[in-house]
Amino acid sequence: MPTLTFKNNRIRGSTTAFNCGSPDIPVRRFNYWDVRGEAEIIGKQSGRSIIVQHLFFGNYQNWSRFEEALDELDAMIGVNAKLEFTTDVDGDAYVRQFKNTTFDKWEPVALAGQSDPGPLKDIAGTLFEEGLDEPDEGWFLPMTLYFRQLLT
Amino acid sequence: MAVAQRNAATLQVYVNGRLSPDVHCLDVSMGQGASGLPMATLEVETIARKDGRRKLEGLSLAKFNQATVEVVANGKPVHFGKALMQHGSIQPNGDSSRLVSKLDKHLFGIPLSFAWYYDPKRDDFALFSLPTIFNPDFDGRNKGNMSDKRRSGAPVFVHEGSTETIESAIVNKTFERFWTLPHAVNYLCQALNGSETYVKNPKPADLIKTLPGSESLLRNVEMPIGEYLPELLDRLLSPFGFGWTVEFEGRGGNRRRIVVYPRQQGDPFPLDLQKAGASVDMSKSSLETLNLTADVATSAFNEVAIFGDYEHYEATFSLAKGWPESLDATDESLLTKNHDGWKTNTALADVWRKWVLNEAGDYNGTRPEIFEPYDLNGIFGPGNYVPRRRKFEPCISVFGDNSPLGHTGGIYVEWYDADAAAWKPIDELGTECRQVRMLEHECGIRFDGLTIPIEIKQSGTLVGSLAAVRVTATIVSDKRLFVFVSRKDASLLKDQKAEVIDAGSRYKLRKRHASSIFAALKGTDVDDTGKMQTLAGQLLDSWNTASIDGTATISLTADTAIAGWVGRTVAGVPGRGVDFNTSPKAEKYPTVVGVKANFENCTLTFTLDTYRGKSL
Repeated sequence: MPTLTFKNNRIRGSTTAFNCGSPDIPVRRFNYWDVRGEAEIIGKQSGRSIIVQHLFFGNYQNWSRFEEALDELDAMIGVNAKLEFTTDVDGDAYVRQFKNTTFDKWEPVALAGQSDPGPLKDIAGTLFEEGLDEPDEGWFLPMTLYFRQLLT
Repeated sequence: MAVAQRNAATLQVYVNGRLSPDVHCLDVSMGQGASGLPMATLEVETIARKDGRRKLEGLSLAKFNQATVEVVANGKPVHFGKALMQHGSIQPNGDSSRLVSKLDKHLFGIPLSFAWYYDPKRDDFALFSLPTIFNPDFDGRNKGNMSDKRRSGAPVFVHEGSTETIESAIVNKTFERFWTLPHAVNYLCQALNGSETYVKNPKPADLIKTLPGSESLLRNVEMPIGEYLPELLDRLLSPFGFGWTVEFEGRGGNRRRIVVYPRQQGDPFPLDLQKAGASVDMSKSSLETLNLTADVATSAFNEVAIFGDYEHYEATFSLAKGWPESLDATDESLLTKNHDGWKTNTALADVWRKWVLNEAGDYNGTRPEIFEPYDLNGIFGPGNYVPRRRKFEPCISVFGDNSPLGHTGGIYVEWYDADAAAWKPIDELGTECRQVRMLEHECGIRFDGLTIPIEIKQSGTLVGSLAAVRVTATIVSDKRLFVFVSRKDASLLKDQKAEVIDAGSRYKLRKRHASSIFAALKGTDVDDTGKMQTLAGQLLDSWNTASIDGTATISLTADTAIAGWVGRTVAGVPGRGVDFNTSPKAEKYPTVVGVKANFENCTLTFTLDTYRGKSL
């Protein structure tokens, strides 16, 4: 099950999609008056955006515990630390690390068929925490996490 | 091969001499003179955003580390200063705290408070709280007051009253010498910035090469106490068409120097922009925007009129009797000051005592021989005066010690001894009558002794028939020394436009008329006409041009030089056939007076100007 670790703390649940683009580069494009074509001045690579789709759950059987977990997630907003994405590649664990990464924000997303994004309860028992055989059956929230890796 | 892409400028910021990657330079600027001292805007933010971002929170806005800041761009130093300003802002989208590093005026040494002199008694230099005046006005003339002595390679002052005679000059080990612009600049730099803690002074050899060495230019120029070197350099250089800036010679230590340059001269550089329709090539195009205004009138002039001081002439004047003829025969005893009749009859007050020039015509008709004002045509020249009251002033002729010849306040009074058929000084009158007072409101004298000068009254066979008094003194014309130079034919400005300059205290005409009995003796005659013409020529050389001012912005890349532009001139935009020459006959171009590198926008903006600056 793909997982996400930030500042050595695992973000509970499982990662469904991990999108890491190329580094950004500052560029200024402009024209000289009445000269054909475009000119540009490029700077150094500055950073890259990392967008993660994540199912946030952790056997939160009661609502207050679920809210506490979201508060803990909020506390990491703005923190700059190492981000690690762990997944299986051909049956082997593969960890990709991103240093100097700032956790910018998270946003709830709606599941297919869900009218508005928001927390749901795993009534059907479809979610399984890493290493556990028993279904989670607690509160969960599909979300998008936004990170920015600062290149130095 | 055409180039359409360039790398952005590289930047390093050093704080207190250490490379500081967390300090980001947003822009640097440098310019001309006191208003263009180097400046840089900085933002402090650690790249990893851990704890280092300088926020407007938990800090005292006016208390911050006034560190030295050096910025190196594209491998070359482009800024040195101290973090002296902090700008804080809180906006809906966040807060920020920016530091401004400046090479402020107080980093150029101490403010002007004293003047350096040579003290011959101690054979050493000394600071005195005397005013700093180059070639001051002294006894009605301009006096060179530059010493032969050099302190740290720069001349110092000798008091203008210390070289009046050869003897006093020997005591002070210097003769009268006039300050020139290069010497005056060198003096100010050494006197105020002798330690060169942050900025080095210009090299004397460069000053001599760049600035005019004429002794005619600096005349009675006073430097105000309390001003710092940058302001004083502006004051000294600007009127003569010169500017100055700070050049960066390297990083660390005091590796930056004041340099002086002539405006609108020097090797001009072009602004690169390809012809319309050409394919972009950044090796041939860099000019992005241009906003310039050419003005052929506002600050230009094609004629100069300089007014010096009123003309002074020494001559010998025969005076007239300043009382009615009917009182000539009054008994001498009645004219004694102790006599009751003299005290009570005011009509007797002037009899045989007051002698006048009658320059205004006040005495016409009081005596048969007085029927018109004294004719000054022979001295002032026809049309150069109106009949009006004047005043006798000290002689231009001088004794060996340079004090004016004369008995009373530098004025020489004689009476005619008919028996000896000779003019005699008043010293040869009786002791009770020879006291003489100069009249304050007209040209004349009054014998102020207890008795009248009986020797004068008795001169001649009839009573006073040959009595005469003459005075050798200086009088002032209604005409000022004047020079007018026109270069209208060599001007872009088609109409005549004159600059009128009042330089009354600086240029003088003091002459002795042939009638002066001292005309052949030593005198302090001065005729500054030639010097005024030199000044007029210098001013027209500088300002008989159009002015072009505004900004030109070029792309700032890793290949762009950022420093070294100030003082250079801009030829135009040859790729578009635009010429910036401001003079019809010579090559004169607008000068770069300011440069600002904006590293966020990747632009370098030149401020161009040909304005005159401070007036003479």
